[in-house]
Amino acid sequence: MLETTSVGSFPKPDYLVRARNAVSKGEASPESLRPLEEQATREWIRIQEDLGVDILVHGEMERGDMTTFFAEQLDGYGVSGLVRSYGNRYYRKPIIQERLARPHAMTVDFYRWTQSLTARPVKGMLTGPYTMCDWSFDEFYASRRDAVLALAEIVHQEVRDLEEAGARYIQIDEPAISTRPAEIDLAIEAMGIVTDGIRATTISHICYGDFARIYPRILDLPVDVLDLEFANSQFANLEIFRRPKFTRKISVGVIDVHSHRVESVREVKDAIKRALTVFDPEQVWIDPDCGLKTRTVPEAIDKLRVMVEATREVKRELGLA
Amino acid sequence: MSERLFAPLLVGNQPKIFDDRRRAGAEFNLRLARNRLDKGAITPAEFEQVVERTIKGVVDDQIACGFGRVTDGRIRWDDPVTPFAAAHDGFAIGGLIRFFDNNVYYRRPTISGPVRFVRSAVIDDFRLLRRLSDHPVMPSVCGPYSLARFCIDENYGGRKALYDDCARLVRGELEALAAAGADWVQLDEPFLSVHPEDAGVAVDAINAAISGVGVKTFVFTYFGSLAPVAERIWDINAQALGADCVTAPENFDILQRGPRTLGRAFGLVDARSTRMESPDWLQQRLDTLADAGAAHWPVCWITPSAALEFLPYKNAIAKMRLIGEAVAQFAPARIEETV
Repeated sequence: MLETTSVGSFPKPDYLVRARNAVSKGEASPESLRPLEEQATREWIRIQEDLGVDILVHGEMERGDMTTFFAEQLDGYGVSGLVRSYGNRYYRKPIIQERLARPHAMTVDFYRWTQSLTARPVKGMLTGPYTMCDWSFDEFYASRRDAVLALAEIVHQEVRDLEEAGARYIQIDEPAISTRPAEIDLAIEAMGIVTDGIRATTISHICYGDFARIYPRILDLPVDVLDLEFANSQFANLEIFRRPKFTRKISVGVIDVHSHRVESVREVKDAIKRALTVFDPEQVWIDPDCGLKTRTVPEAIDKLRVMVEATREVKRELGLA
Repeated sequence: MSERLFAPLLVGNQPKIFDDRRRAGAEFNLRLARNRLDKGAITPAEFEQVVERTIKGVVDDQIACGFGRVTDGRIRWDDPVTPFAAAHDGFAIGGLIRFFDNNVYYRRPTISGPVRFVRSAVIDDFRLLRRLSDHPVMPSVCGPYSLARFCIDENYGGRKALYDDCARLVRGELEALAAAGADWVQLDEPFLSVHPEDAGVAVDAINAAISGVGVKTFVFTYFGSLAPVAERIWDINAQALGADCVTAPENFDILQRGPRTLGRAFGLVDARSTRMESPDWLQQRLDTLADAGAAHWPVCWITPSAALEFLPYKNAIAKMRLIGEAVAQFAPARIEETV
């Protein structure tokens, strides 16, 4: 009840940013990054434990973009030049050039190693097939449906391997799912392939879209927890979920990840209580709106601290602790 | 002025980062310059120099690809609405939201008070573009209907006054551009096809902004089908109308059905896919337009389906070259822009 967690990414410490820049300029080998990624991951695991977060994430120190990271490991993908996504932020948008295949597990080793650092559960973190397709150029498949379903099979293989490696929570991010309401059936069908036969708790993160266009259909997405952003829009989209009543578990974003300002505990408590006017406490997890990787390390830590403290106070006040 | 049956033209933002050896240095790297400006490592004046070099590069690319009328690639814009929300009264910049069905995000403005024109958001860039190029230019503004729809309205309750005030604001922009010597201005109206139920309101707002304003106007709609609004779009008093014919292929036929006195822009080349159209296919499309009477239309622009900023630089250039070469097959022709 009111478990705290994070969506996925954390900011990379300066030493890792510098090392990644050196690799991208060809001044260092990609293999040189691994010890630094492990060091940064250890630090983030310790930070989350110290703050008292319930369900941890590994922080994605080894990843750049959430699509490109997977595309670089799959057969059939190439990577394009830079494309702008927001403000002055760019990513190398992948290109599907041939039939897609997964030559090896992509996240399992790092997941297993990270989980060994802590007794608390760490989420397995993946990008869903609909978003992988939507955020790629496709020069191979005859239709978006063909591409999405091919990716669904690949993501399913990764989910299955994560579960076999012991993951109790597996998050399959689908931020693009609200983009085209006409394709919601395809996104649901694809997620059905991804989570087929999986017993781990599955989560899907969706953000920065128009939820009204996909509600209540999104309740049919076959995952256990839907993770949605609310703080960014000052909870203006909360009312959507009142009728018909939201029937799944929900991870409620209460921290704006695109603001340097650190929210006050009172502010976050108010946000949680507002969410509880729509959702039952048993349904609710608490987290930031999205990955915190665009914040500075101190900002991210402060935002997490406020989130955990506010959640504890609300639980105490409501007798849920 | 065009001597060809068809003329190439850009719509929307161009990629802001060059990816070629000629312009690989920091003096052309707008992304790096913005980071340095944010950190106080360069002055606003130094940043402005990079902006100007980037716009000049965008202009040079258009000319090299055979584009006779050029844009500034909206290098200073992240999206079509926030430059106006920042410049005029009544707006507050809000939270992030996805820009239509693209993996691009903008800060959605909130209309928190009466919308009032303050000072043109685009006039300085228009003058800069004129200084950087001796070619005809196409500045652009956000259309009044989409300006309202891009925002969260907390002041007007969606009433007609909202669209009236947005139309007055856009009219102010158009008047400023006309006074500065613009001959054409593009208006973005991406929401026109998204909310067909508002077609009447949208057309009224557009006409209130453009009618008799002293500059020729070109309305481009992006992303959606014109079919649900086809009954009303010919009531728009613009001198040219254009649409994305890739996302909605039916727009290719709909645009041909307009009155002969109307200029057209056909967004034939997919601005959101690296997959290249074949030159033969594009040639056939242009043949179809020629047979449909393009020579009688005041102007017939061939454009990408949307902003080429959705593509990496090299792919964007390849698409521009494709359009330029296809259009060149029809030179010389016998019409001028005489709207």
